[in-house]
Amino acid sequence: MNRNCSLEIEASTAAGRDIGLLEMESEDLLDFDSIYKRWSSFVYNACLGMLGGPDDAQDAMQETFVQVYKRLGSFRGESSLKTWIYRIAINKCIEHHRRKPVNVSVLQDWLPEDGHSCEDILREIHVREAVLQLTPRHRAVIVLFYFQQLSYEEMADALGLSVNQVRMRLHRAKTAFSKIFGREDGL
Amino acid sequence: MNCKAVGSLLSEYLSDDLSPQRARAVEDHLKQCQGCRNELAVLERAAQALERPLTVMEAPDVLGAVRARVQDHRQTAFRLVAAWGFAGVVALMLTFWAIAWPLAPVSDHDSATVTIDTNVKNHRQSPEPRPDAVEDMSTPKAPTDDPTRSADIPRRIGKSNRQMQHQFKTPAKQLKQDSAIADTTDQVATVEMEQPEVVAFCQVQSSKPGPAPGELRYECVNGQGYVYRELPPGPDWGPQVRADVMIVPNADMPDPRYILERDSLDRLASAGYATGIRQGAILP
Repeated sequence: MNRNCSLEIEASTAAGRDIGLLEMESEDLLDFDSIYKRWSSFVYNACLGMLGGPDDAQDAMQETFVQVYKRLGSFRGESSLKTWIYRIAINKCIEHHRRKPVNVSVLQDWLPEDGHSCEDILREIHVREAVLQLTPRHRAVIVLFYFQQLSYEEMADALGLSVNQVRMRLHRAKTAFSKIFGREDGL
Repeated sequence: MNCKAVGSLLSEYLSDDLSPQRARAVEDHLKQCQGCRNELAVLERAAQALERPLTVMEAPDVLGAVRARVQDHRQTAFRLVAAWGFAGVVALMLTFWAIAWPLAPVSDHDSATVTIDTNVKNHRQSPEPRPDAVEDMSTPKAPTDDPTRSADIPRRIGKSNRQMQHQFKTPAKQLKQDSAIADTTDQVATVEMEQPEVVAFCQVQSSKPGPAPGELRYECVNGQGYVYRELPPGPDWGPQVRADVMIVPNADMPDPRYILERDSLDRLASAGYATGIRQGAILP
């Protein structure tokens, strides 16, 4: 676990988008603890968006970081660390979803009430429920784009698609989401 | 542009991702279609709902669990490697044994057994068995140990002593690879050997009860001699015939295939001693 650390993460937040830049010396290794500290919250919330329940999200997050640890030595920096981790997380969520289908009702139990109006909480539950009813592929683009604020390029990198494919899939996902959202919203 | 086509483009229209021509076509359709306008309103509202930031939940600390799982994975991997290594060593030892075993010296007690069904019906029983020919069927004896052989049995004909010695050294393990085909007719019993180079001496014995022995057992004694003799019937058994049969490939039957005719068997059964059978004929 004690790897030589030469991880320089330059993270900046611009317009709500977190852009993590990784600069690695060619001979240096990444430090797992730093990676975990930097990305655990993002991974957990992405898993939460994909799976709904906190327990499932925690399981997927744990599996994601186990995989990150195992493959960290083979990470060559061809993609950004951020998109690499997101790709693992999305794949783990899809695997988890195959084993255990999403239960929408779990959302009622964990959303925070402190500091949030009742309307905000209901709206968030409504949005998350509609997202959870999408297919995993559509859900992934919605979660990455809207919940995790990834750019088209980052999504393309994380999902292994071209930018145009990402754009088209996102439009389809939005259309599917609006049908579910509108139906449940009584529009 | 119809409603279906417009519906598939509304999201792109809302995101300004359409070309100017397509956007104009969508707008033209929207001006005259209330249903598509409603659909656009729903889409717009859904997009607004998605655009609003959601609650960012605090992540649980799973670092310890991740480390424990990685450690467990390492131990499992180590056990797997150790298990595979052990299996590899065992496989290597078995391979070595399989290669080395056929090269080991062959014991004189090794023997191969071939079973033939002949349906011999008119078996003639020998008038009086020779006392020294009575043997236990279950324990075939090497013919060279038989005291009657040297006095009564002439040597083989047609084959050199060198070939005979070659036959004597043929391991029984090799003979076991030969196969026997039973001809169920009354006429012949056929022995087929897959290895023409093998010169085998087989011992024949009938083991089925009743007056017509239905099964002849070719027990290839590894090496020593060939005596044909008749055994007295047991209390529950019919005539039992025991013989050593020489099986030799030759130019006439290169396949090789050796036929024991029923008459020959009968003659063998009735004879006190014989030197063996070669291609279905009784040797002098």
